[in-house]
Amino acid sequence: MEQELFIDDVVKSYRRGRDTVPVLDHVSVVLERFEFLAVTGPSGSGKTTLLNLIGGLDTPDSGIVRVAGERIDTMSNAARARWRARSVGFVFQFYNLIPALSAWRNVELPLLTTTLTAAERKRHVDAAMTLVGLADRARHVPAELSGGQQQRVAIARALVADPRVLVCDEPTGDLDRASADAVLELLATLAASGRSTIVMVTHDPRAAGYATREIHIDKGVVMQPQVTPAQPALANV
Amino acid sequence: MKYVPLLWAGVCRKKMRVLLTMLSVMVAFLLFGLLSGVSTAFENAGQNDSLSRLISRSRVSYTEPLPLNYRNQIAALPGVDSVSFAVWFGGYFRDPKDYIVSFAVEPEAYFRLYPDLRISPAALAEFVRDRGTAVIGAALAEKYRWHVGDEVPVKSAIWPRKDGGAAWPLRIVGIFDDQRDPTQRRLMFLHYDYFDDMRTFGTGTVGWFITHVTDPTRADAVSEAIDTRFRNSGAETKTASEQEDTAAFIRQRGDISLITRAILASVFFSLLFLTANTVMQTRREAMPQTAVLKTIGFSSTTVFALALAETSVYFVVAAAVGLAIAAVVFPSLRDYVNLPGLPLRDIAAGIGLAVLAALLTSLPGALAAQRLGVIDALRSRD
Repeated sequence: MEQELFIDDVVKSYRRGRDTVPVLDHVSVVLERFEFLAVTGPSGSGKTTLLNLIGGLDTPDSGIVRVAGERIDTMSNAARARWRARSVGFVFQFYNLIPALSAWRNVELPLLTTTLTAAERKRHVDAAMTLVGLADRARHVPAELSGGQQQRVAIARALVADPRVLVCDEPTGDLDRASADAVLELLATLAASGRSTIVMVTHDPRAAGYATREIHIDKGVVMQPQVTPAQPALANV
Repeated sequence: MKYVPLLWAGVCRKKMRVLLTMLSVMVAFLLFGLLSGVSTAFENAGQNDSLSRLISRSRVSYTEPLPLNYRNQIAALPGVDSVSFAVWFGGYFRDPKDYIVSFAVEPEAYFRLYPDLRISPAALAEFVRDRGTAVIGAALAEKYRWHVGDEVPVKSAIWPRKDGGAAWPLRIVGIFDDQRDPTQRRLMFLHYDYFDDMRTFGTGTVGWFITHVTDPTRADAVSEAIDTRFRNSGAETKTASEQEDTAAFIRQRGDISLITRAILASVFFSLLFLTANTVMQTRREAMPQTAVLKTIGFSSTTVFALALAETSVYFVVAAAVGLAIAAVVFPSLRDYVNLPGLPLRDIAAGIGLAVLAALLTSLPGALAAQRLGVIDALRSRD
């Protein structure tokens, strides 16, 4: 299958005053298209840093990061912003919706960076809202939605521009179990139906159980990659 | 247009704060509009005054009187058509705060010198005939609801009566108008002969002479001739055209324009600092949202433009509302400042200043948004 994610020998450290703190230590990960990867590990292990590199929010000190067919570690900031707009969707733990905008307008945001007409944007947004099952809540502002619904709006926003890769940082960290299951089932469906490749950072082993692959990071080092043995949620998809 | 909902969402983030900021900007620009209009009116003061009329005052001081007998000597000079005079009466009605701009004049000669003062011939004839009368401008009549036939007990802040009375009872016999210079509509004229007979001091003197010249191009020569005529006398004169005299009189009271602009400058600097601080606070609060926009692919330039537009728009809108109110209110000052409306020059200056102030106050926040590090901003939100 086609490689969607190619991370080779990546090193990343941060400056903290006079000290240099190593975060990722010669990390290599390869992911095929439409896989659903869970990145687990303890706090401070480097999993969010890895996610930021994959999402083009940060660049490594050394190594190669190729995502969705493009090498992004050598791109300028502006080029990475353009690349993010067309290739990656982001889902955050706290949804990060804009409170004064309706769900529909929040989902439309990534399309504002494109040259799509208003009619084309409407078609895309309506489709994304339908995909996450919130077409009837399009006019509601975030405060009028539950946490699970807000996260589904965030997923619709991440999907609306048809990105090849979806990066999710603790997407169920702020949700109750039922809402978390609904969001994870949605993510698993997106990968299984060949819509997006998904990389998800999570603390929760149960959430990781929805992924098709899992890697564990500890102290900036990738432990033995493993294939998730059972995918109970997918049985219901 | 596609960014309008996003801009609106930014404006609505803290509605009360935006509303209060807009109110302060609006009031500042209302003040700006009115004060600059008044300042322009002062700068233009005297422009309606005639170049063919000369004013001769005491060289020593505005308050120093001149002998009445100068009148015939001035009238005899070459180039002089006619001469009259006036005395500052310093009248007020009931309370010294309710001052009336009032002069004692020679009725017939004075109104001949000022043909723009429109009064009915019958009223003027009655004014000339009866020494205990007065004529008033239409605005003054309206202010105190005075009518022809009313006897009004006007008092003077300067001139006590010989009989010890404080009030100068005057019967109003006419109301005049001046379409060219509305400030004239606030004046009152009383009869010099009556005034001169009844005052306790200064008898036989006047405040200033008004000379009408036959040829305005020779006004300077006539001015010079008048001043030369009285040089080395006990009461030397200083003669200037009416325009110059008005401007000099206003200058004596201080540089109104400079004072006005100093007030405006202090208001604006305070406003700039306060608004810039509010805008910076707003931008700090908007940091997570800005980070999200950058994360999903908004370029730094777009984020900068959005942040700049978000605060500039409401600043400029509030300023425009303030200027609009000033433009609506300004004509009601027509009796005090000789301008029909807020000058376009001042409106344009206000808009220019609003745009500049909006950019200055928005720029630091917009630059901060442009330079925002996405990862740190997202981490601070989490």
